[in-house]
Parts: sequence; C-alpha cells; structure tokens
Amino acid sequence: MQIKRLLSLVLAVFLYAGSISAQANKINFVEYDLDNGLHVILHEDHSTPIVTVSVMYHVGSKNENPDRTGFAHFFEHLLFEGSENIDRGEFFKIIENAGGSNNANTFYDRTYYYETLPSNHLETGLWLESERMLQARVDIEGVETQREVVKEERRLRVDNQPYGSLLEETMKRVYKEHPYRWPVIGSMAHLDAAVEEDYKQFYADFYVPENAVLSIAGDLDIKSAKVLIDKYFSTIPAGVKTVYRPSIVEPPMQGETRDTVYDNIQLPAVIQAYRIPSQGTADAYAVEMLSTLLAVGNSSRLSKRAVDQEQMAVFAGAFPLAMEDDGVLINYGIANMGVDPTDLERLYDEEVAKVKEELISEKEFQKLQNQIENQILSANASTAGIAESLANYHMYFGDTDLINSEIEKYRSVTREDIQRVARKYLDFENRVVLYYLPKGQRP
Amino acid sequence: MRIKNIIVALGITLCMSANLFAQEDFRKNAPKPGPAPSIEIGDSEVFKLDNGLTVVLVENNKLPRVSFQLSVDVPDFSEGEKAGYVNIAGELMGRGTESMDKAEIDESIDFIGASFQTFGSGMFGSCLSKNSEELLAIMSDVLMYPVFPEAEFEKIKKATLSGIAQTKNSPDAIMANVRRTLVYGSDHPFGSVETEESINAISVSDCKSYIDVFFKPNISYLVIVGDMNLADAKLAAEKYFGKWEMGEVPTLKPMRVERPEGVNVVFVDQPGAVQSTVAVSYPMDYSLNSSDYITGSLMSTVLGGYFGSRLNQNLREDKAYTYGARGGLRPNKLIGNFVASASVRNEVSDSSITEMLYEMNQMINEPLTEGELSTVKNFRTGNFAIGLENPRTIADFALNIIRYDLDADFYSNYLKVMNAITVEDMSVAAKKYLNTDACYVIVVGNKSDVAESLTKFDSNGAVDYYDAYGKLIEDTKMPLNVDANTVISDYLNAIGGKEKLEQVDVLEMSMAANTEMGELEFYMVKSKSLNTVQKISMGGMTFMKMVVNGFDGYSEGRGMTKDLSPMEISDAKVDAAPFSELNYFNTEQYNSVKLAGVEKVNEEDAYRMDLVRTDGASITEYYSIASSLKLRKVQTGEQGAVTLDYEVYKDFEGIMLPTIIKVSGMMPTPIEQNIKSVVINPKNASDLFK
Repeated sequence: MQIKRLLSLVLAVFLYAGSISAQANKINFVEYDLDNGLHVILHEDHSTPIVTVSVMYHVGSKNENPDRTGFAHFFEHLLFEGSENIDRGEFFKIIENAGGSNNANTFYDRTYYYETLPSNHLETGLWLESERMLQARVDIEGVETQREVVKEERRLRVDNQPYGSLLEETMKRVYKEHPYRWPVIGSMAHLDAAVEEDYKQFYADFYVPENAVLSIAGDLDIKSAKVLIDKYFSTIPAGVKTVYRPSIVEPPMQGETRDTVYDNIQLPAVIQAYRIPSQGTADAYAVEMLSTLLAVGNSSRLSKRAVDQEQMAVFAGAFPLAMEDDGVLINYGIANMGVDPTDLERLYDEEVAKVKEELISEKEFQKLQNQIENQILSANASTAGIAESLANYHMYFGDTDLINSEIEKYRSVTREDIQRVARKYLDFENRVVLYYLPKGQRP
Repeated sequence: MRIKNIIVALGITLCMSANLFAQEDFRKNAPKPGPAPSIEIGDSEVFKLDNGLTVVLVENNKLPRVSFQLSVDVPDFSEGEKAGYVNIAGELMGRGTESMDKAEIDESIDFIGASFQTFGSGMFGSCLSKNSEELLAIMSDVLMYPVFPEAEFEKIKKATLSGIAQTKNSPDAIMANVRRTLVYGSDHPFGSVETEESINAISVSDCKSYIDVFFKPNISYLVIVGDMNLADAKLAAEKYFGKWEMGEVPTLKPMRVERPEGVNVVFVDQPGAVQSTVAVSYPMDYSLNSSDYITGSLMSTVLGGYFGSRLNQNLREDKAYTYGARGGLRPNKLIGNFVASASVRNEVSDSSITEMLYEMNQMINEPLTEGELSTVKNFRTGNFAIGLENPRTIADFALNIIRYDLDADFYSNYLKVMNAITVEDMSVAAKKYLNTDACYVIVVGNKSDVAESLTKFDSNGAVDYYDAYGKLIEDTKMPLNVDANTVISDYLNAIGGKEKLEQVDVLEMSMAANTEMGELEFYMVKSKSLNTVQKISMGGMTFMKMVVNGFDGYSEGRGMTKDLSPMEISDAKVDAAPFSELNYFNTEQYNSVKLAGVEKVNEEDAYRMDLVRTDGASITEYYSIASSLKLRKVQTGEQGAVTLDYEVYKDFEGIMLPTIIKVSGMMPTPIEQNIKSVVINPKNASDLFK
C-alpha cells in the first residue's frame, strides 16, 4: 500500500544503524579478555543448530579525519575484499558455501560485522573474522571497485530517494564542530581523493584487537569455543598506538537554525532537531520515553493529533539518536496534501509545550512502560540480535549485563523526569528546523 | 665467542620465529567443518472450528510473547475502476466497532504495548502473552462488529491520495506500477494500479460490501505463533472466533495471462533521476505446487537469489554498476512471474540490461558446474536452517501445506529433494522458465540521459513511454513541418534575428539574487572571441572571479589569485559566446541537436531539444511553442541536474533577454537571478578582460 511504502522509505533513511535495546528472559553469557586486548563474549543457546559470529570495532564516522570522511563505512565494504589467505570475492563464497548469511553495518560510533552459520561451521566464522582483523587485503584494486559500489549505494539511498538526505541535512546543521556533522557514508569526493596509504593507515590504526569485541551467540559449547578462539585470535598483535577517539565537545546551540531543502517529493516535511545527552545517562532514557510518548503508537501525542484527529500529517515520528557523545532527537512529520508545513510545525510545538506544562497521567505513564517492555523483548529474538546486543552493551557501556538489566533504567524514569527533560532539552530557542519542500515550490 | 653466542642466540630466535610461523599455517586455508547438525522442523498443530476456520498453532516459549494472524483467502478479482478499495476496506475495518471508536482501539492497543493492524486480506496482532486476552478481545470485536465510520473513510482516502502523489518521486513505486500493468494487463486482478481517479471513485459502501461478502471463516486461517499451548489456543479460538458466521463465498473465474510477443522496452521518465531502475520481467506459470517448484527455486537462487548469484556477481562485484542486483521466479497460485532487477547509474543502463540478458542466456545454454551447484545447495541448506530460528517459518510451512494441497512431509523432505537435484535438472528448469525473447524490459530513469540507448533491445526498435501509474503515453502532438532547425531559427528570430545577434561582440551583464545571506551579485562578460569574465560578490566583497583572455586566464578567490590551466581555460570558453545557439549546428561544437518531443514547462507547451556537445555535455532545452522563446535549460552533470528557467524577456537595444533566471540544482536552495544591467558592445571592452 502506498502509505506503507512511503513510511518505509522515510524510515530507511535512518537504517544505517543497528538497534540498541535488549531484554528477554535472562540471557546468560561468559566474557573475558585476551592478552592482546580483544574482548570476547559468548552466549550458549541450543534451540536451533546455528551460531552467529560477530566482531564489533570501536570505529565509526566520528573517528574519521575531516578530509577523509566516509572511511569507516567504506571499510565495511573494503573488508570483504579478502586477506592474505582469502582471494578477492571468496569471502562471501566461503560463507555461502557454508550455508550462512552475513552482513555488516556502520554507524557514527562503531562498525559491526557478523555472519550466521550452521553451528558446525563455528570455526569457519572464527577464521574469517581473524583474517579480517589480522591481515585483510587493503589495496588500490579493492578500493577502486568498492568506491563505485558505495557511490551507487549513496545514489540509491540518498540521492534518488524522497527525503533520502534528511539525516545528513539535519546533522550538518546540528553539529558545527563535532564529527557527527558529516554523514556516515561520507563524501564521495573524499573517497576519490584518498590514496592507498590513507586506507592502509586507517586499517592499521583502528582494526586492532584492543579496539574490538568478538561476540558469539548460538549452538556452541563454551569450552571448545574458547579453545578455537584462542587459536585464531590470541596471536593477533595489539596495535602500536592509542586508538584515536575525538575529544571534541560540541558547544551548545546558539539559537534556532531554520532552513529549507528542495527535494524530489510531493509532500512537504517538517523536521525539528534538538540536542540530547549521550546514551547511558539517566536523562537519555527519559528522552527515549519522551519520544515514545510523542510518536510511538497510534495513540501517541503527535500521531493522534497530527495524523488522526487533524489529518495534517501522513506520518509523525520522533527518533532519538542517543550516541556516545551528545546526540540528537529528531521530531519529524510528513504533511498531508495541501497542508502548509508551518501549520504542522505549530501543532508539533503545541504538543511539546503540553508535555512541558502538564505532567502525564499515571495511566499514560503505565502505557509507556508497557510499550518499552514490548520493544525491549523484540531485540533479542535471534542469535544475531543477541550477539549484536551483547557487543553493544560492552563496547558502549562496559557492562554486558545491561542486556538483562537495562529495563531497570527505564523503570527508574519518573513522570517528573519526562516533563523535566522535555523542558530542558526540547528548547525552542535552540534547535534546528528544516522544511523539506517539493522542487516545484521554489519561489 | 661472544659473536658466536649472538649468532646462536639469533639462530634460536629465528627458529622460534619459524615455529611461530609454522603454527600460523592453520590460517592458510578454511578450516574443515564439524559434522552437519540434524535439521528438525518444529511441530505445528492444526485444528478446525465448526464454522470452518482453520487454526494453526506453533508453540514456542522462548519469549513470553504471542502473535495472531488472521488470513482470509479472498479469491483474486480485479478492482477495476475502483483500484485500491480492498486496501482501504481493510484499513477502515480497524477504525471503529459498535463498542469502541478508533481512539479507544488505539489507546487499548498501545496501553498493553501491543501492535495491531487490519488489511484487505485479514489482520495481525502481537503482544506479550500475559495480554493475549485483551488483544484477542479487540481483534474479535473488530472482525465481527466493524462500523466503517464515514469520517475515518475520508481520512484514509486523503492519506492514500497523498501516498499516490508521492509515487512520482519513488522509482520503486513507479517500477511496481508499470511492471504490474505490463506483466498482467490492467484488467487482471494483479494488474490494477491505484490512481487519484480510482481512489476518488470509491465509497464507504464498496468497502463494507467487500468485507461482508468475503470475510468468512470457512475460507480463513488463524495462525498463532508463540507462547500459547494447544489447550489455551483451542479455548481462545472458540471464545473469540467461534461465533464468526460462515457463508458462501463467490468463486471468480481466473483470467488468462499472455506472454508478451518479442522484447518490449518500456521507459518511464523520472527527470533528474541519478539512477535508473531496470527490470526484465514476464508472467510465468509457477507455484508452490508445481512439480518442479524446488528446482525452479534453486535455479532462481543461482541466477539472482543471493550475494554470489550470477546477476550480483556480474553487475555489482565485477562491474560495480549497482549496489545490488537480484532476480528469479516468484511463485503464485493464480499466475507467477519472473523478474530480474537492479538500480544502476544512468550511464550504464543499457549495459546493465545487456548483462542481465546475458546471464539469463548463460543459465539456459551453459550447464552449471558441480562446484557451483554444490555451493548453492549448501547456501540454501544453511538458509533453511537459519529460517527455522523464527517460529513464524514453521507456521508458514503448515499454512502452505494446507493452502497448496502439498504432501504433509513436503518440508521435512525439502532438503532431501533439493540435494538430489542434478545439473541437468537445472538446465531443464532454466530452459523452461527463462526466456529473453519474449519479455518486458522496463526502465525508470532520466529520459534525456538514457532512453535512446535502449531502442536496440526492442524487437520493433521502438521504445514505449509510460507514466508513473502504468499508462501508455501516446505520441505527444508534434506539429508537422517542425524540426530542430526551425525551433532554433524561430528562437533566434524571436530574440532579435540572426543578423543582429551576430553583431554582438561583447555582452556585459550584471545580475543580483536575494539569498538568506544577503544579496549576491553576479557579473559576467561574454564575447565572440570567447574571452570571458565571471564574478560573484556580495556587498562589494568578491567571493570568486575568473577572467579568460586569449590563451591566458586567472581566478581569484579567498584572497588568492592563481593562473588557470589550459584545461580550465578551454572549459571556460565553452559557455563564453554571447549566443551559443548560433553555433548549434556547427558539428565542431555539437555532436547532435535533436527535437525530442513536446512537453509542458510550467503549464506551457514547449518543444524539447536534446543536445550533446562535443565535450560530452548533455543538455536539454525547452522552447515555447507559442512564443519561440527559450523557457528552460537542464544540464546534467556529476552532481545531478542543474535547471535554469528563463522568464520575463525584455528588450535590450533590439535583443530580447530574460530578466529573471531561476537556478536550481546547483546549490541546496534555488536562487533567482534578476538582471540589473545589460551593456551590448561596451566601449573599451578589452579592458574588461585584464
């Protein structure tokens, strides 16, 4: 149906990311460090004879050189070009021949690689990831092929998609100094200008065991898995220098920035972006609940009024991007035919003002908690989901058991907290507001 | 002695290193896998209620949640002129019952953190197992006592129309519309396309009758997956769905679908598109109960069903035309189809089609190697196992067995059957199902860049043009006795006449544009000698200046001045003549200048001219049929399309020039340049180029 296709197009804009939530019945795991600094997490689950082998590297677009953006994501492609012992094109063939499937994703703060394999191929997965970490092939031939593929990816997801540039246009206005200001896919010009040495250096700097988490979930035996992990990973040398992490603190927003983007669309969109605290903080959880209050479910504040009662929007969303450094909450709406975006914006501001002025009812608060509980449960329904969650919790928070305890953080948020964070962070004087207008509406 | 010790010591070190390397020998090759685990399909239970509702239960207690899917096997029929009413009826059904209005339904669902949706083919809900009674109560109420509120109907209609308008900008939506129209025909149940007209023709009673006539338990299935046992499932099914009344459902005669004759190329223009979405497609009898279903499925995987497929390896890994190419057979009880598709950059649209057809023919003509067959079987086996992680897969299996009248052990035997398929079986399936002689080749993209290169694929050498909603565009009314020459000479006459224009040696212009940063000033000088000046400034401060004088030139900007390279100088000269149109038929400057058709520009009928310069640039221009004036120029480059609209022509010493130029595509926001002054053949012109 047309609307659903439209919605998935809009949502696809945000999907460079992996989801960050966890919970289920208790998820048991074992974790330890190798001497070279690699952190290992293992979860045993025999319900299906499969296993997910994954490695998360603590490098994302924010670690990039501002003149060489797009590297972290580019490496997601480049690191399938093989290694000392794996010919070009063989990486995928090996996984497929083993009956597995695989993927990778890159975000602002990290890059993640995983394959799901029949459980008798655990060692294959370990071999592949150890080759990738130890001696991946990083050369100009691979660079040249993947450059073209990444350009097509950009055209597909950003240039040729309605609202495809939404995240990029927002972030570059929200952040003036912090690396979050450039898109994860980076600049095609930077990729063109980079030389082989740049790529080799990036690999040497970031793809080192002390910058990685090996996370494995599924039909394995902990003891024998440990032996195999030791075999493949313990002799990988640690890096020679400290891994670069930017210490740039984005200064507070100075006022409201308003702008218009003309796009190949028919329906205008309104985007309002506010700075929010980094993930893991008490306020970040409160902000997430606030965003659920605003736009998750048909009875949410924005959906109910904008989409349903007043039919000013075909879609209303509130997307909290909580990251390692201060993040952003993006409230957005796609206007219905013939609706002036300024009217939609006014509605959004009124609804946010209501949250600031009136404490939510106990019933509505209970609803929020039920919604969060449901969301959390869904993230760990598969070995792939569990492996990623375990890695995320360790890498970002140093506390892998959050996969079981994170729900408590949500449960400690009070109604007053939700009102407080609305007042503190959804500041109308300091935000970015973008209008997406059809090209035909240019003055 | 010391040296000997050192050498010995080194020798030991070397030996140790050698050992270390010897240990790492294991990295050289892929490790051998352990013994393959046995793959077991979980259990499902099937039972029927008295009213004919079939219930499938897959119990899985891993997580404390449960989902309920109600599927109605509505016979396929065409919505005709009211295309879209089935979807709307499904949506409307969930918008109010005799006891709850929409707000109450929404509130109740959200309160338990559940999800719930209604469709033209049924409904779906999921929740934590502790809330299943609340969810089922709502689902049951919606199913049996919907009221179809008029106000909600209007809302859905409005939202649907918004979505339809958006189709024009979505290459995927356009491709879906056009492909469906071509492959099935617009009269076929699968061939109807929602349009503004069809949606506006729908009434609430259409929606209500649809649900009344077709939503009957005797053609429906309730699939329960998750944390619920058989006893509870039986109780719940009876309690919430037992009172649903059975009834006769009309059976509708299926329509025959014909294969196309020859190769038919269809193009849909999406101006400014930077990628072409290309597809090869045709209808094909292929269903889950085809005798060679599994072979056809395996063959599809080889061709375009995984990363290592023929299509993906060729178009992405080898040639980097695309981010991903895929294709294969799609089964359907009524009529299946074949489709191969990819989104590729404009310049390789034709090459991509060549490669797609090549790969299809390779599958037909060259048998697979045993190695490749073995790899794809391994892939599918693993995939099958991974699919079993999700209990929904098991439910689908159970449902398919009932719906398609398959053997009870179809899925438990699936891998055995698949592993027995031979290279010959695959060849037979390829010959049967793949065909590059009778198909549709569909491209959604930028017409001026792409369309012409596609005629070679068409059996009649002619490309058909369709709009975003699957309607054929008849040849636009082209007046007789008009060709590229007449359009250009009419234009030159309208702006002053060839003679007068040729007397312009130097043309000096100042323009200004209001932007958020302030007023931007543009200054340019064009000349017959191809000397040129361009300057952009604001409030007297120069941002950028470029001067070309003969074979020399310099540029200034950000406090720096540098000489222009010979390449930059010749690039600057390309646009340096005051009236480039005087040279359109000079083959040293333009490879081709074609009259491409009639189109509307800002509601005005215009001739479309496609030009290709000798430096490779592609330009599209539009000249008003009524006034002969140039209305628009579109130049497509690396960054996309730059569009200039020319308005309010005024007389300058007998020469007509546009005083308003609207530029878009070059910067994030469009700008409107207004002419401030024009000087023709200024005195001391040579001073300007210093």
